[in-house]
Amino acid sequence: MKLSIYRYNPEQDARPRMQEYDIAPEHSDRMLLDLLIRAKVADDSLSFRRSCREGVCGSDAMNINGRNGLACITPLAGLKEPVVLRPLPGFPVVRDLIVDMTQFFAHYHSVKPYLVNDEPPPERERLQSPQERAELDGLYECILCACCSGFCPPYWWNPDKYIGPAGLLQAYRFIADSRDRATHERLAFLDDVYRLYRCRTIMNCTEVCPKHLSPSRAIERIRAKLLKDGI
Amino acid sequence: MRLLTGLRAWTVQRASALFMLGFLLWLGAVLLVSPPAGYAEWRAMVARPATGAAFGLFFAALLAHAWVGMRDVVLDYVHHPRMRAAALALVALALLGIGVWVALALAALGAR
Repeated sequence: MKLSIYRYNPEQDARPRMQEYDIAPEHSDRMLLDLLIRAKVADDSLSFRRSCREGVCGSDAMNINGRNGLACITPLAGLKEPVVLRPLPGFPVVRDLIVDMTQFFAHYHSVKPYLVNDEPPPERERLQSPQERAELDGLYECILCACCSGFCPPYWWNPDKYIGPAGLLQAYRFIADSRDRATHERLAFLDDVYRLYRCRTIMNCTEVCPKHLSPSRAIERIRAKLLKDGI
Repeated sequence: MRLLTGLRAWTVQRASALFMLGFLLWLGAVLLVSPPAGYAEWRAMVARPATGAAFGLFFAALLAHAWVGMRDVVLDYVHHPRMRAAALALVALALLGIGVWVALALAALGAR
Protein backbone atom coordinates (compact mmCIF):
# COMPACT_ATOMS: atom_id res chain seq x y z
CA MET A 1 0.00 0.00 0.00
CA LYS A 2 1.36 3.41 -0.94
CA LEU A 3 1.85 6.04 1.75
CA SER A 4 2.97 9.64 1.28
CA ILE A 5 4.14 10.97 4.63
CA TYR A 6 5.14 14.48 5.68
CA ARG A 7 8.73 14.48 6.86
CA TYR A 8 10.36 17.35 8.69
CA ASN A 9 13.14 17.48 11.19
CA PRO A 10 13.63 21.17 12.07
CA GLU A 11 17.18 20.50 13.27
CA GLN A 12 18.31 19.07 9.91
CA ASP A 13 15.87 19.98 7.16
CA ALA A 14 15.59 23.40 5.57
CA ARG A 15 11.98 22.66 4.61
CA PRO A 16 9.41 19.87 4.98
CA ARG A 17 9.10 17.23 2.24
CA MET A 18 6.74 14.36 1.41
CA GLN A 19 8.31 10.89 1.48
CA GLU A 20 6.79 7.97 -0.39
CA TYR A 21 6.54 4.54 1.23
CA ASP A 22 5.31 1.29 -0.25
CA ILE A 23 4.38 -1.02 2.61
CA ALA A 24 2.71 -4.39 2.20
CA PRO A 25 0.05 -4.89 4.86
CA GLU A 26 0.10 -8.21 6.72
CA HIS A 27 -3.03 -10.29 6.94
CA SER A 28 -3.77 -9.11 10.48
CA ASP A 29 -3.43 -5.38 9.68
CA ARG A 30 -6.76 -3.61 9.94
CA MET A 31 -6.05 0.01 10.80
CA LEU A 32 -3.82 2.73 9.39
CA LEU A 33 -1.69 2.67 12.56
CA ASP A 34 -0.73 -0.97 11.86
CA LEU A 35 0.73 0.16 8.54
CA LEU A 36 2.46 3.18 10.10
CA ILE A 37 4.17 0.89 12.60
CA ARG A 38 5.37 -1.26 9.68
CA ALA A 39 6.66 1.89 7.96
CA LYS A 40 8.55 2.74 11.14
CA VAL A 41 10.16 -0.72 11.13
CA ALA A 42 11.31 -0.10 7.57
CA ASP A 43 12.50 3.46 8.31
CA ASP A 44 13.16 4.11 11.97
CA SER A 45 13.71 7.85 11.39
CA LEU A 46 9.93 8.25 10.89
CA SER A 47 8.33 9.80 13.97
CA PHE A 48 4.72 9.75 15.15
CA ARG A 49 2.90 9.44 18.46
CA ARG A 50 0.77 6.47 19.43
CA SER A 51 -0.07 4.75 22.65
CA CYS A 52 -3.28 2.84 23.28
CA ARG A 53 -3.84 1.95 19.57
CA GLU A 54 -7.61 1.73 20.14
CA GLY A 55 -8.96 5.29 19.96
CA VAL A 56 -8.88 6.08 23.65
CA CYS A 57 -5.66 8.01 24.29
CA GLY A 58 -5.88 10.41 21.34
CA SER A 59 -2.12 10.36 20.66
CA ASP A 60 -2.12 9.49 16.97
CA ALA A 61 -4.29 12.31 15.67
CA MET A 62 -3.11 13.35 12.21
CA ASN A 63 -4.34 14.62 8.89
CA ILE A 64 -5.26 11.57 6.79
CA ASN A 65 -6.03 12.26 3.12
CA GLY A 66 -7.01 15.81 4.03
CA ARG A 67 -9.16 14.95 7.04
CA ASN A 68 -8.10 14.87 10.67
CA GLY A 69 -8.53 11.52 12.38
CA LEU A 70 -6.96 8.90 14.60
CA ALA A 71 -4.72 6.51 12.68
CA CYS A 72 -5.56 3.67 15.08
CA ILE A 73 -9.29 3.68 14.30
CA THR A 74 -9.05 4.54 10.60
CA PRO A 75 -9.64 1.28 8.66
CA LEU A 76 -7.18 0.52 5.86
CA ALA A 77 -10.05 -0.69 3.74
CA GLY A 78 -11.48 2.23 1.80
CA LEU A 79 -8.46 4.52 2.11
CA LYS A 80 -7.57 6.17 -1.18
CA GLU A 81 -3.97 5.59 -2.29
CA PRO A 82 -1.49 7.04 -1.87
CA VAL A 83 -2.58 7.71 1.70
CA VAL A 84 -1.34 11.23 2.38
CA LEU A 85 -0.40 11.73 6.03
CA ARG A 86 0.38 15.16 7.43
CA PRO A 87 0.62 16.54 10.97
CA LEU A 88 -2.45 18.27 12.46
CA PRO A 89 -2.93 21.50 10.46
CA GLY A 90 -2.25 24.74 12.30
CA PHE A 91 -0.06 23.17 14.99
CA PRO A 92 3.70 23.77 15.18
CA VAL A 93 5.58 20.67 14.01
CA VAL A 94 8.08 19.13 16.42
CA ARG A 95 9.08 16.42 13.97
CA ASP A 96 7.34 14.55 11.14
CA LEU A 97 3.79 13.81 12.36
CA ILE A 98 4.43 14.99 15.93
CA VAL A 99 3.04 18.43 16.76
CA ASP A 100 3.54 20.77 19.70
CA MET A 101 0.35 20.67 21.81
CA THR A 102 1.54 23.17 24.47
CA GLN A 103 -0.86 25.93 23.46
CA PHE A 104 -3.74 23.50 22.99
CA PHE A 105 -3.35 22.27 26.57
CA ALA A 106 -2.85 25.81 27.88
CA HIS A 107 -6.31 26.62 26.49
CA TYR A 108 -7.66 23.46 28.08
CA HIS A 109 -6.27 24.46 31.48
CA SER A 110 -7.61 28.00 31.11
CA VAL A 111 -11.22 26.77 31.27
CA LYS A 112 -10.58 25.13 34.67
CA PRO A 113 -11.42 21.57 33.62
CA TYR A 114 -12.34 20.41 37.11
CA LEU A 115 -15.28 20.79 39.49
CA VAL A 116 -15.30 24.03 41.48
CA ASN A 117 -17.43 23.63 44.58
CA ASP A 118 -16.50 25.25 47.90
CA GLU A 119 -19.48 23.90 49.80
CA PRO A 120 -18.52 21.46 52.56
CA PRO A 121 -18.37 18.00 51.01
CA PRO A 122 -21.17 15.62 52.00
CA GLU A 123 -20.44 12.46 53.91
CA ARG A 124 -20.30 10.47 50.69
CA GLU A 125 -20.13 11.66 47.06
CA ARG A 126 -21.99 14.66 45.62
CA LEU A 127 -25.07 13.07 44.10
CA GLN A 128 -26.67 13.76 40.73
CA SER A 129 -30.06 12.74 39.41
CA PRO A 130 -29.99 10.55 36.30
CA GLN A 131 -31.19 13.57 34.30
CA GLU A 132 -28.38 15.75 35.63
CA ARG A 133 -25.90 13.04 34.81
CA ALA A 134 -27.35 12.70 31.31
CA GLU A 135 -26.44 16.36 30.67
CA LEU A 136 -22.79 15.30 30.58
CA ASP A 137 -23.24 12.70 27.87
CA GLY A 138 -21.53 13.75 24.67
CA LEU A 139 -19.17 15.97 26.66
CA TYR A 140 -17.15 13.84 29.07
CA GLU A 141 -16.09 11.39 26.33
CA CYS A 142 -13.65 13.88 24.77
CA ILE A 143 -10.12 12.42 24.64
CA LEU A 144 -8.37 15.73 23.76
CA CYS A 145 -6.86 14.39 20.55
CA ALA A 146 -7.14 17.88 18.95
CA CYS A 147 -8.63 16.59 15.69
CA CYS A 148 -11.33 19.27 16.06
CA SER A 149 -9.13 22.25 16.94
CA GLY A 150 -6.70 21.21 14.19
CA PHE A 151 -9.54 21.39 11.65
CA CYS A 152 -11.00 24.70 12.86
CA PRO A 153 -10.20 27.76 10.68
CA PRO A 154 -10.75 30.30 13.52
CA TYR A 155 -8.29 28.25 15.60
CA TRP A 156 -5.78 28.41 12.73
CA TRP A 157 -6.26 32.20 12.56
CA ASN A 158 -6.05 32.96 16.30
CA PRO A 159 -4.53 29.93 18.04
CA ASP A 160 -3.09 32.08 20.83
CA LYS A 161 -6.40 33.69 21.84
CA TYR A 162 -9.30 31.52 20.67
CA ILE A 163 -9.84 28.57 23.04
CA GLY A 164 -10.91 26.33 20.18
CA PRO A 165 -13.59 23.63 19.96
CA ALA A 166 -11.88 21.08 22.23
CA GLY A 167 -11.36 23.57 25.06
CA LEU A 168 -14.88 24.96 24.68
CA LEU A 169 -16.43 21.48 24.74
CA GLN A 170 -14.55 20.89 28.00
CA ALA A 171 -15.67 24.29 29.30
CA TYR A 172 -19.29 23.36 28.66
CA ARG A 173 -18.79 19.97 30.29
CA PHE A 174 -18.26 21.82 33.59
CA ILE A 175 -20.84 24.54 32.95
CA ALA A 176 -23.41 21.76 32.45
CA ASP A 177 -22.37 19.89 35.60
CA SER A 178 -24.99 20.22 38.35
CA ARG A 179 -22.30 19.81 41.02
CA ASP A 180 -20.26 22.79 39.83
CA ARG A 181 -20.77 26.15 41.59
CA ALA A 182 -18.66 28.40 39.37
CA THR A 183 -21.00 28.60 36.36
CA HIS A 184 -21.20 32.38 36.50
CA GLU A 185 -17.41 32.81 36.69
CA ARG A 186 -16.94 30.31 33.87
CA LEU A 187 -19.41 32.19 31.65
CA ALA A 188 -17.85 35.55 32.54
CA PHE A 189 -14.43 34.19 31.52
CA LEU A 190 -15.78 33.02 28.16
CA ASP A 191 -17.65 36.27 27.40
CA ASP A 192 -14.80 37.58 25.29
CA VAL A 193 -14.44 38.51 21.66
CA TYR A 194 -11.58 36.00 21.28
CA ARG A 195 -12.01 33.13 23.73
CA LEU A 196 -15.50 32.06 22.63
CA TYR A 197 -16.77 34.40 19.94
CA ARG A 198 -14.14 33.62 17.30
CA CYS A 199 -16.31 30.60 16.49
CA ARG A 200 -17.85 31.19 13.04
CA THR A 201 -20.06 28.07 13.25
CA ILE A 202 -18.15 26.34 10.45
CA MET A 203 -18.78 23.04 12.30
CA ASN A 204 -15.64 21.32 11.00
CA CYS A 205 -15.11 20.25 14.63
CA THR A 206 -18.31 18.20 14.77
CA GLU A 207 -17.71 16.88 11.25
CA VAL A 208 -14.28 15.52 12.10
CA CYS A 209 -14.52 14.37 15.75
CA PRO A 210 -13.39 10.71 15.88
CA LYS A 211 -15.52 10.16 19.00
CA HIS A 212 -18.63 11.57 17.25
CA LEU A 213 -19.05 14.41 19.74
CA SER A 214 -20.34 17.86 18.81
CA PRO A 215 -18.17 20.74 19.99
CA SER A 216 -20.26 23.11 17.86
CA ARG A 217 -23.39 22.18 19.81
CA ALA A 218 -21.50 22.75 23.07
CA ILE A 219 -20.42 26.19 21.81
CA GLU A 220 -24.02 26.98 20.83
CA ARG A 221 -25.17 25.99 24.34
CA ILE A 222 -22.53 28.20 25.95
CA ARG A 223 -23.75 31.13 23.86
CA ALA A 224 -27.35 30.40 24.84
CA LYS A 225 -26.36 30.20 28.53
CA LEU A 226 -24.49 33.50 28.24
CA LEU A 227 -27.52 35.11 26.63
CA LYS A 228 -29.81 33.79 29.37
CA ASP A 229 -27.32 34.83 32.03
CA GLY A 230 -27.15 38.33 30.51
CA ILE A 231 -30.90 38.97 30.48
CA MET B 1 -13.62 48.55 22.75
CA ARG B 2 -15.42 46.92 25.71
CA LEU B 3 -18.66 48.43 24.44
CA LEU B 4 -19.24 45.86 21.70
CA THR B 5 -17.39 42.68 22.57
CA GLY B 6 -18.29 39.10 23.26
CA LEU B 7 -21.92 38.44 24.00
CA ARG B 8 -23.06 42.01 23.32
CA ALA B 9 -21.61 42.13 19.82
CA TRP B 10 -23.01 38.69 19.07
CA THR B 11 -26.49 39.75 20.26
CA VAL B 12 -26.34 43.04 18.33
CA GLN B 13 -25.37 41.18 15.16
CA ARG B 14 -28.27 38.75 15.43
CA ALA B 15 -30.88 41.26 16.63
CA SER B 16 -29.94 43.71 13.85
CA ALA B 17 -30.15 40.91 11.28
CA LEU B 18 -33.66 40.04 12.47
CA PHE B 19 -34.78 43.68 12.39
CA MET B 20 -33.35 44.20 8.89
CA LEU B 21 -35.02 41.04 7.65
CA GLY B 22 -38.39 42.21 8.99
CA PHE B 23 -37.91 45.73 7.63
CA LEU B 24 -36.89 44.54 4.16
CA LEU B 25 -39.83 42.13 3.99
CA TRP B 26 -42.16 45.00 4.96
CA LEU B 27 -40.54 47.37 2.44
CA GLY B 28 -40.71 44.72 -0.27
CA ALA B 29 -44.42 44.17 0.45
CA VAL B 30 -45.09 47.93 0.32
CA LEU B 31 -43.23 48.29 -2.99
CA LEU B 32 -45.09 45.31 -4.38
CA VAL B 33 -48.61 46.20 -3.18
CA SER B 34 -48.70 50.01 -3.46
CA PRO B 35 -45.46 51.40 -4.85
CA PRO B 36 -45.05 55.19 -4.47
CA ALA B 37 -45.98 56.80 -7.80
CA GLY B 38 -43.07 59.22 -7.84
CA TYR B 39 -40.45 61.08 -5.89
CA ALA B 40 -42.97 63.25 -4.04
CA GLU B 41 -44.97 60.26 -2.81
CA TRP B 42 -41.81 58.40 -1.89
CA ARG B 43 -40.62 61.44 0.09
CA ALA B 44 -43.96 61.75 1.83
CA MET B 45 -43.77 58.11 2.87
CA VAL B 46 -40.31 58.48 4.40
CA ALA B 47 -41.28 61.78 6.03
CA ARG B 48 -44.05 60.11 8.07
CA PRO B 49 -42.74 59.80 11.67
CA ALA B 50 -43.23 56.01 12.00
CA THR B 51 -41.76 55.22 8.58
CA GLY B 52 -38.94 57.70 9.08
CA ALA B 53 -38.09 56.08 12.43
CA ALA B 54 -38.14 52.62 10.80
CA PHE B 55 -35.79 53.84 8.05
CA GLY B 56 -33.50 55.43 10.64
CA LEU B 57 -33.49 52.25 12.71
CA PHE B 58 -32.79 50.19 9.59
CA PHE B 59 -29.66 52.17 8.81
CA ALA B 60 -28.57 52.09 12.46
CA ALA B 61 -29.00 48.29 12.45
CA LEU B 62 -27.17 48.06 9.12
CA LEU B 63 -24.21 50.05 10.45
CA ALA B 64 -24.03 48.08 13.73
CA HIS B 65 -24.29 44.80 11.83
CA ALA B 66 -21.62 45.85 9.36
CA TRP B 67 -19.31 46.99 12.16
CA VAL B 68 -19.48 43.68 14.04
CA GLY B 69 -19.08 41.69 10.81
CA MET B 70 -16.18 43.75 9.45
CA ARG B 71 -14.49 43.80 12.85
CA ASP B 72 -14.71 39.98 12.95
CA VAL B 73 -13.12 39.76 9.50
CA VAL B 74 -10.29 42.08 10.59
CA LEU B 75 -9.73 40.16 13.87
CA ASP B 76 -9.61 36.88 11.94
CA TYR B 77 -7.31 37.89 9.11
CA VAL B 78 -5.27 40.97 10.07
CA HIS B 79 -2.79 40.12 12.83
CA HIS B 80 -0.13 42.81 12.70
CA PRO B 81 -1.13 45.27 15.49
CA ARG B 82 -0.62 48.45 13.43
CA MET B 83 -2.24 47.03 10.30
CA ARG B 84 -5.15 45.86 12.44
CA ALA B 85 -5.59 49.27 14.07
CA ALA B 86 -5.46 50.92 10.63
CA ALA B 87 -7.97 48.46 9.16
CA LEU B 88 -10.37 48.91 12.09
CA ALA B 89 -10.01 52.71 11.87
CA LEU B 90 -10.71 52.60 8.13
CA VAL B 91 -13.86 50.50 8.65
CA ALA B 92 -15.02 52.75 11.49
CA LEU B 93 -14.40 55.88 9.41
CA ALA B 94 -16.25 54.50 6.38
CA LEU B 95 -19.24 53.40 8.47
CA LEU B 96 -19.26 56.72 10.33
CA GLY B 97 -19.24 58.54 6.98
CA ILE B 98 -22.19 56.52 5.74
CA GLY B 99 -23.96 57.11 9.07
CA VAL B 100 -23.53 60.89 8.88
CA TRP B 101 -24.66 60.92 5.23
CA VAL B 102 -27.81 58.90 6.01
CA ALA B 103 -28.58 61.00 9.09
CA LEU B 104 -28.26 64.22 7.06
CA ALA B 105 -30.44 62.84 4.27
CA LEU B 106 -33.16 61.66 6.66
CA ALA B 107 -33.04 64.96 8.60
CA ALA B 108 -33.36 66.92 5.36
CA LEU B 109 -36.39 64.84 4.35
CA GLY B 110 -38.00 65.31 7.74
CA ALA B 111 -37.36 69.09 7.74
CA ARG B 112 -39.08 69.76 4.42
